Amino acid sequence: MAEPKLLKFEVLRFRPETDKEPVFESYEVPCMEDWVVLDALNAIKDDIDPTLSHRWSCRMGVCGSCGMLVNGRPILTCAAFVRNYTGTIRVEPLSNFPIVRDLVVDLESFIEKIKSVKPWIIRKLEKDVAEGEYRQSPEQLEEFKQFSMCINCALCYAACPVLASEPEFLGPAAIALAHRYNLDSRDEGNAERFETLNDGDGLWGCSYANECSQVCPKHVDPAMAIQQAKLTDALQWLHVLPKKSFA
Amino acid sequence: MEVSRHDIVLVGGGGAGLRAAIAAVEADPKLSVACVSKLYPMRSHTVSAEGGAAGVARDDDNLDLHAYDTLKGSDFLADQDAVEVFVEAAPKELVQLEHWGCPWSREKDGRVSVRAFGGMTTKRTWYATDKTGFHMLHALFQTSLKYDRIVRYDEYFATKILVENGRAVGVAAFDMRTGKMHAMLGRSVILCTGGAGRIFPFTTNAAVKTGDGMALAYRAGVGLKDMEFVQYHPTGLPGTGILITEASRGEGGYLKNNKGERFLIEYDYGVGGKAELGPRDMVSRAEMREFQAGRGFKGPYGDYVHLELMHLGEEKINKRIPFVRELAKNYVGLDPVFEPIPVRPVVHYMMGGVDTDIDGAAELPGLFAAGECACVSINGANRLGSNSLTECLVFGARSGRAAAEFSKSSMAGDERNALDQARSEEARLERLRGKHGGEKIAQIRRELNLATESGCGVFREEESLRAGLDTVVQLKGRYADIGLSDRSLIFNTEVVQALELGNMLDVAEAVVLSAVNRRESRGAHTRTDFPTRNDGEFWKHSLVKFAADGPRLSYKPVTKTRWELEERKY
Amino acid sequence: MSSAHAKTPKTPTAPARKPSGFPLGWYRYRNYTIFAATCIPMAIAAVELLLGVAALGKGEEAWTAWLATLSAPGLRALNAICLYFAIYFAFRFGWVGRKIAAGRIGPISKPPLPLSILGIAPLGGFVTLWLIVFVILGGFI
Repeated sequence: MAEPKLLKFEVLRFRPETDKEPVFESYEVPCMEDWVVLDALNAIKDDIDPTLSHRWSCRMGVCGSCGMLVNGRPILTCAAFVRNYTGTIRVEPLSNFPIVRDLVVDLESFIEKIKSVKPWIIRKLEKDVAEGEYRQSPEQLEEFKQFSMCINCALCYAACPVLASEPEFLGPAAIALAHRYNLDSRDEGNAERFETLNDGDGLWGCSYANECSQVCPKHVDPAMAIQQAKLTDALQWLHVLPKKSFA
Repeated sequence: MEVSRHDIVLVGGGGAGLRAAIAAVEADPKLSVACVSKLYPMRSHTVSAEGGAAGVARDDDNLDLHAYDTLKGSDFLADQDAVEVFVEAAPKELVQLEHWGCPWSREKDGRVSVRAFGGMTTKRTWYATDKTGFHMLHALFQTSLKYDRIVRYDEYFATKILVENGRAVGVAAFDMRTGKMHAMLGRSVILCTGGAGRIFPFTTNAAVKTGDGMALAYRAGVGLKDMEFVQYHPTGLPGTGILITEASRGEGGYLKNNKGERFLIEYDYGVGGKAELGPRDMVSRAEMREFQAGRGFKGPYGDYVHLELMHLGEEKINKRIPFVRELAKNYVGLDPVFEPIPVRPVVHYMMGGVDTDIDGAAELPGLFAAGECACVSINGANRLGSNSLTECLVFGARSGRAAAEFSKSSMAGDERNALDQARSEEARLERLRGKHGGEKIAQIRRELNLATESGCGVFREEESLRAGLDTVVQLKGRYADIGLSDRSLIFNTEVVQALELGNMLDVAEAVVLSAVNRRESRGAHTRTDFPTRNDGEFWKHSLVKFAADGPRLSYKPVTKTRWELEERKY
Repeated sequence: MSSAHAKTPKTPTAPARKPSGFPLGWYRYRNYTIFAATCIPMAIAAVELLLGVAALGKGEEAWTAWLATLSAPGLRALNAICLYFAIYFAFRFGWVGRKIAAGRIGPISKPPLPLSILGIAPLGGFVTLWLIVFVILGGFI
């Protein structure tokens, strides 16, 4: 096996019991060629500085735990290959979220926003399980499939410049999720989500930065969801279109 | 110390846990369910499952056939009454999930699609492209947000089951954010904490799969059943262990050795005409035997074989298994449309777990368990792919309803002993944080991984098993002397790792002890010194129970209803 | 909307850090900031139009005087710069706005192009505003 190379990392630390504010600490980590930044963080925790706190789980880009800023850009650290970086690698917690400890941020506001758009199937009449599945054609599935791929990693929230100054903004993931349900042929809850979306802090807070779609690791393209939702929302507000998801 | 009171205390927020929570509040809307999870629920390991969930769907299929396939896959160690209940509930649960928004892949006429899977005689695996676990978990989590009576305690780590008058009345769990211990009291406890793949070095499992619930139940005196049966998934990436779904073979992929042969057909590995769609234990053994015969490719992380998907064509790959393509490109740096993927067997699933009945009830009154952490058993000695996601739903729902029923009928009684136990846990946690000691957590964990890999791998034999067991016991001794550097209260993940390591050591001991004493080969448990199945002596479940001077091993009979034992040939 | 921020956090937290390179440090954020700053030329356009409308109301003389003011070289230069930003806004908005060409708008599946264009109409309106002010009223016609 090839020899590990010593790479320099600068990691933002914050220990609320002792630190007044976050500070950078430097580490030199022996890294294998195919490692990701997460592997280096684990090596720091295991062998160099066990007091480093960070979130991670699946290490394959599907659980959404390990989002951080690497050299200033929001990325899943399990998908950030060290071979793609030169010089010192700077690791910080996600921007736009209060920092709890080291690389761990407070995601409660994110969860609240997700919940506020009522992300579940809303129907007047539920079909009985014994009657089988709702029929949904592959074309109908394609309409919302892309927006259902969100892993709730919150990278889009870290990148959004609107959230930097307006933390009350609903945010890309929540709006994309609302839009996913509005587009689902089985859902009839468009009217129930309308109030939350049709708000200055809802859909209309988005000012076309498109950073969310640039950083999304799952190609959900929340910016697209938001603009589509805006058009639908505007037409519904004008009563040109009914507040229904589909004919 | 904070005390929270609910009707049901649920530990674990994955597929089984969320399904149980929803089932409980739907059974009785007045009940309040505490969902205690060391992760935000949508990060639970259910999210990584890819291939699909099995349930009879087509007209050419029937419940008996699904039951028989499952039973044969289990090498006849599964409890037949549990299997019957499982196959009957399976299609209903999958439809229920569809009603809750799960985006199953569809046929042109709008009905749900099914695909072929290992060990299944016909197509019955429902799938959502190849991110079925992800879509299922998110559908469950988002649906669970509807219910105000499900109260989530996210990033709380449960350290002990609280027992009052011989009944499980809650858990002691500490808030990872504040470091403060909470006593979570209720009238029943459901464990849905998943398996323990992380006791092995190469696994598809996430960091969090450390067998916490299994260890909690074990220390509360409940037996761990069939722990020796550890499933190796035949197609994991070498090194990282990342899962390449069985669906890649279900859609027609080939496994080839370094001579370009489809070795499952070329040599007799017991899979017959099923070839790549043989059951996982047989395919994994076949791969290991190919390595032993020198027909594997050599790589920096060990030997591997090739998974060939090129003949499927780009369109089919993009439509049916796009995630496989993404993973191969990101983590191996090749495109499976043009090149084969290197794969080897990696630890994936634990068939064993907390001993429960078909309603998820454990021996301790008030304690229930469901999902991978439980052993009902429907998977016996080897699980068929796509049965586990369905298992989470079926037994999650059953245990949720059973716990709701139990909670209704039991009186909330005295809390004194429970609160005392919680306070001792608080003191224990206090002593653990920043503890002085000579051993390092990471070092013991690495040595544990080495011991399980060498003693308890795909092929096992008496001497290496005994050596493995000795090592695990030694490591448990050394664990008492670990030193921690992080003394803080707020989000101290070193303490969490220390607790997880303690859980892993207990689980590993149960695994190796059961393995060394099962002197036969059955399903995923292969003894080179006892290479055949021995129904006369070993048609029974192993049961490991905690005792102060060391674990006690005993056996439990297997339930038989309609099917006779057979030789397992495909 | 969300009350999450009204709650005091469970433990003392460090304040949220701004995105790295925002507002002017990194090229994409820089472009976005300039894009957002086009509200300034928009405000100038609005003021000029208001004055024009007021002048119209006051009569022929006021109107001619206003047109003359607009064709002064200083203001022409200013309006030229503002038109440049208006076109920049239009392109940038269009670049994100094109994502509106949706698979579904409410109950309408595969909406006709005019309906999608309706969504990006504001850009047309904005550029039109500037054409009126700059080209026509600025005395270029």
